[in-house]
Amino acid sequence: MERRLQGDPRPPRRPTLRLKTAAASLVTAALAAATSAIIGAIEVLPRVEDGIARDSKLTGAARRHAAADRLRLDSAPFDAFRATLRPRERYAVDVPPGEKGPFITKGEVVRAYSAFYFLPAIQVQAADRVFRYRFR
Amino acid sequence: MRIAGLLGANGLMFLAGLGVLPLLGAARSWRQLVSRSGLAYLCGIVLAGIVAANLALVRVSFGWIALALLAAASLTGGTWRLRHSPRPTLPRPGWIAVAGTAALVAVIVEYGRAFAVAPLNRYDAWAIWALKGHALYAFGWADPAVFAGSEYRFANLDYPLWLPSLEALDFRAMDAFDTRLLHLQFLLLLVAALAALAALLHDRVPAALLWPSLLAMALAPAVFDRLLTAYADVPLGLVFAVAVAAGGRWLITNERWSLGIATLLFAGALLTKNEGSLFVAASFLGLLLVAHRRWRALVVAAAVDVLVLLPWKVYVRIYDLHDINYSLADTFDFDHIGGRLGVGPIAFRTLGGEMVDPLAWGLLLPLFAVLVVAALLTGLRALPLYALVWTLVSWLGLSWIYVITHYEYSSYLDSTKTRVIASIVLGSAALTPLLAAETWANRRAPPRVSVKRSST
Repeated sequence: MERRLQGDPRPPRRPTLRLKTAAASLVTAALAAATSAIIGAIEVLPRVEDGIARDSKLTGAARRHAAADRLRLDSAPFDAFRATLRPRERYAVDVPPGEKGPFITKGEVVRAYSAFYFLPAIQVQAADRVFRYRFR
Repeated sequence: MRIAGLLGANGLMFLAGLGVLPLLGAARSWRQLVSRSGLAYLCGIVLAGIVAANLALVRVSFGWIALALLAAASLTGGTWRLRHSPRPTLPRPGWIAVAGTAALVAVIVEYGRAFAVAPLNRYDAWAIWALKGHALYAFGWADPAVFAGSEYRFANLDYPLWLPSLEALDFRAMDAFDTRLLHLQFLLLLVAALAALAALLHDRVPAALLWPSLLAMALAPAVFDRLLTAYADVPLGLVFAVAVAAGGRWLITNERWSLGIATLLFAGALLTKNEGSLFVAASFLGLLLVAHRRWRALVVAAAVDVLVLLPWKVYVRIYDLHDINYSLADTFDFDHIGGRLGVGPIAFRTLGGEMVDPLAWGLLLPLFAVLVVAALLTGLRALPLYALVWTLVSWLGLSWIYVITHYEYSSYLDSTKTRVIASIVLGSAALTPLLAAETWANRRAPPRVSVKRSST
C-alpha cells in the first residue's frame, strides 16, 4: 500500500500464504459458523416443538410421577407411603433385587427412586417404618 | 409467584456478578462496566453457587437473605472501586450485534417454551442433582444423613455441590421443590454463558464472526437436548467454555482481569463435577506450557481454585466418600489395567466420533480443528497450542476413565459418550472465534524465522 501511494512502478506482490490463509480462515469461520447454526436449527427446532406438544399436556400427577413412569414403576405405592411420612423420619426399603440392568438392579433403582421421592424423610438400612415394593 | 421468585434470585445473582467485575479488574470505569456487563450474570451465578456450596458444608443455609447480602456486598465493593470514574454512556451496538441479539433472544424464547413444561424424568437429574438440591433445600446444609448416608451412595456422593446448591437456592427462592420450573435455571445458564462470551470477545472478534458463532453454540442440538435433561454436563461445559475463552484472551492480551474471570469460572467448573478437575487441570497445563514466563500469575490462579475446592475435599475425606464409577488409583492396578488397555483407543475413537457428529454439535469441532491448523500455518503459536493441549489432554483423560472403570466398558461408554464430551466441544466452540480473529490479526506479522534472521 505504501509503495503504491508513493508511486512505486513495480506490480504489487502476490499475497503471501500467510495472508491467504488468514483471510480464508476468517471467511471460512464465519460461513461455517453460520452453516452450523442452520444445521442446528433444522435439527433442533422440530424437536423443541415436539417436546412442547408432548410435555405441555402432562397433568400435575403425570409430571410428579414422570420419573417412575419412565422406569415403569407403579407410582401408587410410593404416593401412599409418602403420605404417611414426616420430614426427617427414618424409613427402610424392602424390595427384591429384580432384574439386573447394565449398572444396577431394578431393586436398586426402586431404592434410589424412594430416596428421591420420599425426601425430606431419610432412607436408612433398617428402621421401624418400612416401604415394601414388589414387581408385578 | 414461583417464577417471580426464580427470576428475582437470578436478578440478584446478576447484581452480585456486576459488583464482582470491578473487583476482578474487568471494569475500571463505569463505561467498561456497561461494556462488559454481559459477564456479570454468569460470574454472579458461579459466585453464588460457590458461596452456597461451601456454606452448606458448615451448616449455613443460603437463601434470599444471604443472596441479597452477597449482592449488596459485591455491589458496594464494585461501586467503591469505580467511585472516581466518569458516568457511563450507553454504547451504540452495530446492526450485526442487534440482529445477532434478536436471533439469540428468539432461540431462547422458543427453548423457554419447552423448558417451562419439561418433566424431571431422567435418571441422573433426579437421582443425583435434584435429590441433593432438595436435601439442601429441606435440611439447610449438607446433612451427612443424606450426603454421606450409605443408602444414598448411588447419588455419586463424592460429586461437589455447586449445581445442587444452585438448585437449592432456586427452591428457596420459589419456596417450593418445583421440578418443572427448575428447568428454566438450566436455560438461564445458557443465556448467562452466551452473554458472557459476547462481552468477553466483542472487542477482539469481528461481529460478523462472533454472532454466528454464538448462534451455532445455542442451536447445537446437543445443547438443547442435554440442558433439558437437567444433567450437569452442559452446565459444566458452559461455565468451562467461558473460562477457556477468558484464558485464551489472557494469553493474547496479558490482561490480569481475563485470568481473574477464568479463575472464578474454573472454580465453578471444579465444584460442578469431578470431570471438571480433569478439564481445569488440562487448561492450566496448556496455559503453563505456552505462557511459562507468566508462571507466577498462573500459580496464584491455580492456588485460588484449589482453595475453593479444598473444603469439599475435606468433607469428602471426613466422610470417606468414594467415586462409585471409577477410582484414579486403579491407574496403578496393573492387573486390572493390563486386560483393558485396548479399551483406551476404542473410547478415544468413540468420543471423537461423538464430538464431530453434526446432528449433535453442528460443525463446532471441525471448525475449531481447521482454525487451529490455520492459526499454526500463519505463525500463531500460543493460542493454537493452548487449544491443542487442553483439548487433547481432556480427550485422553476422558478415554482413560473407561480403561480404569470396573464397569463393563461398552455399557458405560454407551450411556455416557454423548454427554461427557460437552465441555470439550463447548470449550472449543468458545475459543473458535478468538482463534479466527487472531489468525486474521496475525496476517501481516513477519514470520518468526525471518525475524530471527534479521536480528542476527
